[in-house]
Amino acid sequence: MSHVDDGTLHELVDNALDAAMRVEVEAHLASCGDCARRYAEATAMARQIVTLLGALDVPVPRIRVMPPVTAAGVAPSVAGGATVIPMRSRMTVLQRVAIAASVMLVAGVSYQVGKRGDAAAKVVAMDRDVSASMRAAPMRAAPSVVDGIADSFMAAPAPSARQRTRGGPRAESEMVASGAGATAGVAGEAAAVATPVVVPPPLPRVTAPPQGALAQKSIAPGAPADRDDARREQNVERRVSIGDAETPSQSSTARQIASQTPAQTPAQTRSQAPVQAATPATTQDVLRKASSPESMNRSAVAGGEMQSALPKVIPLAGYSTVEEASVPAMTRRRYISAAGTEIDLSIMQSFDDPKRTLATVASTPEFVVTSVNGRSTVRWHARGLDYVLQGAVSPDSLIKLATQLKR
Amino acid sequence: MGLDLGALFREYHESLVRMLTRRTGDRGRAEELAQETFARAVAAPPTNPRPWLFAVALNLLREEGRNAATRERRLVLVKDEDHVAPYEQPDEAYEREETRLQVRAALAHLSERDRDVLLLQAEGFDYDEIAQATGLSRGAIGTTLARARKRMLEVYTQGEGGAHVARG
Repeated sequence: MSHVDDGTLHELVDNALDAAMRVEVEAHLASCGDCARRYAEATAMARQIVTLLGALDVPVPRIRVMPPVTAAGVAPSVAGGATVIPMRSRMTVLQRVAIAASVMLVAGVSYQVGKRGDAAAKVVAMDRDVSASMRAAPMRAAPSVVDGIADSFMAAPAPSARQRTRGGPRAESEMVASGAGATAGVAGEAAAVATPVVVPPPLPRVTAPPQGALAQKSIAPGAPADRDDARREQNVERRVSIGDAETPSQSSTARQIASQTPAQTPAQTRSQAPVQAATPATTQDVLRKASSPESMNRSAVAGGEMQSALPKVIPLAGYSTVEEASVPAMTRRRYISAAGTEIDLSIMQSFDDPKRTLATVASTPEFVVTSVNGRSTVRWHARGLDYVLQGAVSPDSLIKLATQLKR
Repeated sequence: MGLDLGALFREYHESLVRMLTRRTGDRGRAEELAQETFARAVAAPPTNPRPWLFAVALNLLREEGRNAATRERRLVLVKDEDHVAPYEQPDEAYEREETRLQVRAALAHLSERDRDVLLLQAEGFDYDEIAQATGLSRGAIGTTLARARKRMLEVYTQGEGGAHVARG
């Protein structure tokens, strides 16, 4: 055959030639030095392009603030120099629905900034698909608790006997993870255990609410409903915050879906240190077990088959742990700083997938940060608007940014 | 039959975001576009998802580009100064950024169609899928890729030479 044209050469490189053509072309290449050389060049080009395009990849996204599009139009730019990217209203709805419908984090931690006394609120943060977020956002950030947690989770997918470690100056992250079969132990904590939804925007799935002290309710998508429910649930939440006896309420199939935003914008918000890295943590991590014996016993009895992975202590620089409640499948910890700032943190393992962690916070948030594999989502309610902030940033910077925004 | 959005998402989301990030240079925007695209898949479940998703995404991108109002609203990303990135030596970081800019510039020198074809191929699309996603004929893909690759590398190597490359 006559010399091979460029297009055909590249088709060969890409393995896009039909069998007959390929045989013909290869035969020609075998006998034609020029074409063979051009083919080699084409192969090299294709390879180089792959490398170059890879240089464009952004594994760790930047933070963005996306105010919702309100009835009045695009929400005002945020003060403090932060620029905003408006969310399309549809996306806002979808995201909020997504947030309302589910929480699915991989080894995620969430914590809240807030002040005591406000109605509690729950965090529901949507994250992307596990594998997607893992691949796309490899944990390369400086050691952070989140990453550490993620690591530990991924490293120990199989539930094992639960242990607790006392933290030293360099306390490890603690998590209680239990097997997918976790049942009654799933604490009465108003953990927003949601049906595993992997996709934003998912169709909201509202499942049966649990019984028990926590008057959880299914939440239909929609902002106003969310808020009302939120308010109600917040009040309920308070009753079962840390320190109270935790009542294991529902069966394993009962799932609670909660989407909450703070009922109102608190006058003041304490700034908080984020969950800090496990880097030389000078944190005095005082682990005092305040777990409610009842729930523990109950779970011990009921959850015979429950196991948990090795939990690790999450150190929070500048904070000591004052209260802790753990039942199989979930751990809750309250951190308090010398200044009296509180952070409530709970982590729970998904029923369906031992590799997945659901994180919820029942506290008094003005905003809630959820970090998964280094990617964070902040849900922030202020000035009557819901803000969703996304990005993969350190918790420090999120707090800082949110504090700025708050002004 | 309902759309298994979860499966669709797991399969294609990462790839879609990656392609859009390469295309726009803006990951956040890429993610938004991807979200929008998947939202449309919910509304109109495609039978041939991969080319469909990418075609829709690229169309959305085009529309957005044309819509001046949208462009203006798309403000600058908040730069997170405290962003904790993996440590690299300053010269490494510089080089990486330089390369990135040069690649972006080279990509910008391609026609939109050539650029799309290149990016889709990089996502593992076969020629048929590329044809479906772009509306080109299957027979044209080979020549398009040949041209796109050549051009991009030409521009890139020129740029590497230190010449100032105008951003497209």
